[in-house]
Amino acid sequence: MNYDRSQLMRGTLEGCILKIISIKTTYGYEIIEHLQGFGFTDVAEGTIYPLLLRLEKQGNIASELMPSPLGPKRKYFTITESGKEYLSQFERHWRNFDQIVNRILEESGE
Amino acid sequence: MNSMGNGKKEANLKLTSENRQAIRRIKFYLESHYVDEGYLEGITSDIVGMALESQKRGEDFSKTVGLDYAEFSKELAENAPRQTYAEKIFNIIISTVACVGIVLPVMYVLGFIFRIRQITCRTVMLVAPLAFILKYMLIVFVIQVGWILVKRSIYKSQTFLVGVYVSAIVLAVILSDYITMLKPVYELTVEVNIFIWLAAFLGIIGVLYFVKLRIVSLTNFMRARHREFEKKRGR
Repeated sequence: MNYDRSQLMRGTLEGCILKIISIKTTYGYEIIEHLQGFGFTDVAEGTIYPLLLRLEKQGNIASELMPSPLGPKRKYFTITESGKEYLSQFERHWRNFDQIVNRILEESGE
Repeated sequence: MNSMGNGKKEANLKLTSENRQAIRRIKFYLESHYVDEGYLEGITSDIVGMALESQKRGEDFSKTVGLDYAEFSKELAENAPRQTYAEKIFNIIISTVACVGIVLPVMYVLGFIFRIRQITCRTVMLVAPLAFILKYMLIVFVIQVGWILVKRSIYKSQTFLVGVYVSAIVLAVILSDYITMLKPVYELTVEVNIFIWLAAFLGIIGVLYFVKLRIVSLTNFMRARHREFEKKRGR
């Protein structure tokens, strides 16, 4: 049975999206291009849109409609104050988590 | 407001029929899962925008979504804010009142056109046995509930769904005939002024709708306040 990486990805993607939005105000497709550029090659709009919806519902990001050259108005996302805090918590937890998992994988490999 | 509506219409017209149908099904699914109405509008226009941009890039919309539509709809329903219990109850009551209320005006019009044996139409008066009215109210109610269930199961086999829906309506027609066999109900003839009936049921719907709008704005206000509080508390 192949490993389903979508489960692992889903939890971490929320933090990555928040980080991208914290750098600059951006929209869905641009976020995907960023994620794909960093190696999340199988990410699509359908994957990130529900996450953006959740982040917005939680008040971690705010959205604004702006004109788009490709047709209807685009939704641009900005990080909020509570989003910044959420992101710093994510970064702290991720680093800690990353160390633990790496230690387990390395020690088990010896 | 009107230009917004026109913009939406225009955007919808630019969609390919395949994408339009996919979006309609997503909307049906979200509606039947009681997603907050304000958010539902926003989500729909976001998805229409997504589809139009993918069309302009010459991409397949299903590829843009990445997941299959059923899974995408499920993810959206899980992450979007839901209606409160009060909103849900009001929506159910409003649609039930609308469905039941429309039965008499429809019977009145049909009575004029087809000369149905049980219905007598005199100027603005509709005269019919109570059993007959109850029978049709029950059928309309089954049609309405069935429609909600159809929307909820939009990603199941369409042939199966239509089959079950039509069978349920036929069953309702047959079973509701038993109402007309109840002598006390059949013998009771109802005389209704159709204009007073229309005004009354439109009035009731108006009041219910007004109360629902108040509940929605109160809910939005509470949500905004909660977000402010969370922000200040710093989680």
